[in-house]
Amino acid sequence: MNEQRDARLLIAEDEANLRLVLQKELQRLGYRVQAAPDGEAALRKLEESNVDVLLCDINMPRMDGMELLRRVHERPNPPEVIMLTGQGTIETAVEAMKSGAHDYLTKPY
Amino acid sequence: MSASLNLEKTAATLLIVDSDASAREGLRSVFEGAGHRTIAVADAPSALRLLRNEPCDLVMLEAELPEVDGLALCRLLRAQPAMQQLPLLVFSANDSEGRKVEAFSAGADDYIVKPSTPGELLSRINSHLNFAQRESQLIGTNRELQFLADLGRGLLRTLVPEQVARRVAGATYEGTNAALCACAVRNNGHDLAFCVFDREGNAESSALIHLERLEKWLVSTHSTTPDLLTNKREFLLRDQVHECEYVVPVRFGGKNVGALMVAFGSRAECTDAQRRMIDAAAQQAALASHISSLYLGARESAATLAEEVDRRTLEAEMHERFTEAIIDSLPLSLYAIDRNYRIVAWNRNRELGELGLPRGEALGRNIFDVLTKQSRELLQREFSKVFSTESVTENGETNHWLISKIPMRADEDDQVTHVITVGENITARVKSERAVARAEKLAAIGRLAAGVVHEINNPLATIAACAESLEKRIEEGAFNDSPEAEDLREYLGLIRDEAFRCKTITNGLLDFSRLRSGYRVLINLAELIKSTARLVTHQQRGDNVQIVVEAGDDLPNVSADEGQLQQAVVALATNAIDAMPEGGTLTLRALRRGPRVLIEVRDTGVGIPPENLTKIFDPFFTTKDVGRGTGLGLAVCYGILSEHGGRLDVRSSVGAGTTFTITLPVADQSVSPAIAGG
Repeated sequence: MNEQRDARLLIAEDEANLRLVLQKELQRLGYRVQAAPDGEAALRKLEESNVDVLLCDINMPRMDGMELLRRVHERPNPPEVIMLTGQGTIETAVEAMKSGAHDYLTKPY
Repeated sequence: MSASLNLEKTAATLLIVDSDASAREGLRSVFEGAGHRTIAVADAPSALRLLRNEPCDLVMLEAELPEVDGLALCRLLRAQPAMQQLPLLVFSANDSEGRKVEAFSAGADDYIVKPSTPGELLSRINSHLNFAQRESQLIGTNRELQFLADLGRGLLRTLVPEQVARRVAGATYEGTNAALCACAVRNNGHDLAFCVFDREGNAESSALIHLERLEKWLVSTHSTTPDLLTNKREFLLRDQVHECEYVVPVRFGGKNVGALMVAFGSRAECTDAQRRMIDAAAQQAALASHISSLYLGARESAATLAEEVDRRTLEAEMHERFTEAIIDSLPLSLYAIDRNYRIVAWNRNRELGELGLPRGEALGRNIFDVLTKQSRELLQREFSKVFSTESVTENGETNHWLISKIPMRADEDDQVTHVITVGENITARVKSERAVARAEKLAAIGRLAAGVVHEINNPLATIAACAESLEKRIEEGAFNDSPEAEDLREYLGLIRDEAFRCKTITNGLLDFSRLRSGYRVLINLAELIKSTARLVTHQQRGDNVQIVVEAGDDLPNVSADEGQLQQAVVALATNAIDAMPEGGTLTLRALRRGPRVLIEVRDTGVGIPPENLTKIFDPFFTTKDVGRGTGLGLAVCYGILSEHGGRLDVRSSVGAGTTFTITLPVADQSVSPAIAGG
């Protein structure tokens, strides 16, 4: 991940504290980072500007991570998606990968 | 029956036998002057001829007659039975004693010496006539009495109307010299029973009776007294010959119950005497007919009664068998006792099983003699309670029988007359209820756990991220100037480690709730318990717990998830130590028992009270204070061991200690460990 330091990231995460830490640390590493508190807000952000990588929590209000994943892939030129989640079941991981996620991490990571 | 003995002076027919015509004339004028009728003949043969055809009331004969003399005539007459009562008066000129004696010996009733005065003659004649009349009356009366006595005796033997009719008709026919005699008697069914006697014999058919005329006659209001019918159109009997009928109603209780009909060839034959006899016969017939109707009624009701009794008995038997069948079909064991504690019912189910006894051996016996295995005192108390309070008592015993003692009232008295004891085996029900409850609890935990875990992971992620970030900054030299930098780094590391440790814990919890089977390997039990001993030795608060490890040498391996099995044994050992706050001995033993191995975890601690023993494996059951124990430990162990095909048992006594025993099947040593299905 250290190669493309000017990559644009979007973090979709409903936990405010975690969102803050992630954004801060990743920006410190040199990425351009946007954050959204839920799936709908994330989609709006995607429409506004291009994003290279989407870091996405599964459990979010209004629109959850799996739904967001699917919607993202309906758009042209979708970002790579990395799923971050507190649910560590094999089933969800498999489903996520099938839906086009690039990778899958369970919290804490 | 009238026996009148009035001496009527009726005109009599006198026969004069004298060879002398003037004598005959003389006598004739005397007698006819007195109003009698006379016939005169000259000699004995004429007299005999005459008497055959014509009945006379008295014979006056001259002792001296030609050819056959008067005394010989007397003897001849007396020799005939019909002439026994005929007054024979001999008159003669001969006054000798010898002649008189001879005459009386010949059968004469009187000896009159000629000449005699008319007055004397008439007096004597009247006297003899009267005498003869009395005699015949007496004989008639006798005969009547005889007839009635015979009839009465005969009727004693009759029971049914047909027999009454036959006896009465027969006796009357013979006793009256009737041409035809019929008797009709009603039986209880309003039919008439007939019997007709005539020359040809007797018949029970009604062919010789005008039935409709008889029926009409019977109901007519005039037919309360005897009737003498002379009009052929009114005759009740069918016969060409007879000229008059004497019909007498057979009456009882003011009603006509039949009739006695006697037909005579001529009017003259139906004398007063005959009529009296027939009346009397009819009265006897009435009484006999009443008795026979009583007899018939009694016979009928006896038959009906007998039928009814049979029917009721059969019904009762069938009902009893039916009830017995119901009781026997019940999947419960059932017996009933009366107030004397005698067994009055014992169903088929009660005959089975360990405490079973055949019905034949139980019925009638005292219940305490039969139920020897139960405490007599306790049983007695339970029975008494039911008898007196009329409430159902139940008790569930440890082997899960629901015994109910139920009061029963045999009739609808106030008092309870019997106690029915019903035993229902509810073991299966109880076990399945518990299993369901446990499963539900586990499912609830699973859901709870999943929710909690998920919730926790988020904060944990934040914590770990923060710590990691700061660690990084330290690495980059951010806090190098600070003297606390070392501590900072160490503590941040701890934070990160603990956050990840939480993850392990929560994962373990999720694993449990999903009961995911882990990877199984062959486990050396001796090693297992030794490592357990090592692990828990640091748990104790002080050093006052002695840990003893006993492992047999021939211990086979078991196939198990090492982590889970270790977790289970450690949990048990931890509980054991917690049970000995003042110290004691913890014994860990592993031994082989046939196709299984046992792991024993024994403590000398406070023990588990009996009422808790069944609950300790239930999830969330804990006797520890809030926050100290989750109550999940034993439930988890139980689950782990079940998954491995084993068992977890417990024995305990309060104050002495507790022993948990894990039973596991011996692994098939030849098979290499495989991943158990998830």
